[in-house]
Amino acid sequence: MLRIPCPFCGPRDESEFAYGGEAHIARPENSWTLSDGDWADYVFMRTNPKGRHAERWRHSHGCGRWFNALRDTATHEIVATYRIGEPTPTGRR
Amino acid sequence: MADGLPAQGALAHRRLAACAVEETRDAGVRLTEMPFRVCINMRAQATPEVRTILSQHAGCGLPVQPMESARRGTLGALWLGPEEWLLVSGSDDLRDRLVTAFRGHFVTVTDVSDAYCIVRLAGPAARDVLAKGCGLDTHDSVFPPGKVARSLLAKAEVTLHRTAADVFEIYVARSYADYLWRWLEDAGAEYGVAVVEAA
Ligand SMILES: [Zn+2]
Repeated sequence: MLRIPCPFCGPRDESEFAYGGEAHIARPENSWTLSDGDWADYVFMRTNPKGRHAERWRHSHGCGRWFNALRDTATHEIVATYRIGEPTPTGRR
Repeated sequence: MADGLPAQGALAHRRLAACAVEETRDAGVRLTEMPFRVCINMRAQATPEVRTILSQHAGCGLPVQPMESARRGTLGALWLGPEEWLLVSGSDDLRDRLVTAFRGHFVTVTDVSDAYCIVRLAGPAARDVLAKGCGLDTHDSVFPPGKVARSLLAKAEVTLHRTAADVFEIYVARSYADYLWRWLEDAGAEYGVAVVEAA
């Protein structure tokens, strides 16, 4: 069980949260001008790193808010959490 | 509520009044259903204007810090999330008063009274019982009386409001009421459970 610090509520059990995929993926502007390849890239392709990964979580059984987390995919360490709209923190390594 | 039907709590079928006791000295926990409380979900930006209107028309402040609550008389305002609160009251006209007070403002007020069952868990073993099914840290240093949190208790989503040192009010979806009540009786059995009628 991970303990995840919600930026609003503080540390809570992982079971209170829902995972929302990779963060900071902006929907392309003028999407109707995209090629099928570029659209597929936006919809399907993710970085899938071994190591730090910026991702979205929702405190679904708590305050209900979406936020971002920087998680190490190899160790599951939550390096940092931050509110939507805030830049990715550098975090310790 | 439909006219002509008698109002009854979500746990009426358990006939709690028949199990209720007066003497609770040996009980580690006391369980009480708190029926018929008016619950209003309010969503708004907590601007000074909105807070002033609420305090003028409902007599209660709006807590803006996470997990805080405010109380004035029988009215309580429980922080549920940024820009979301649960207003609880014993008076039926709360919703109408809020709808009138916030007319023209970007505020939503939703009557959710019948969606919830409220169980009061009290007694010296209350925290021990909660700890069996809830990951929330209820230690005095982080969750003193007045604090409120949505969390999971025995896998059911609850709003947990600590109203006094050894008193927790648990708001749970009505359809979970029977399950959660029986879970609480089972979890509390080793400490001694007393069913107490609402005052
Ligand atoms: Zn939260």
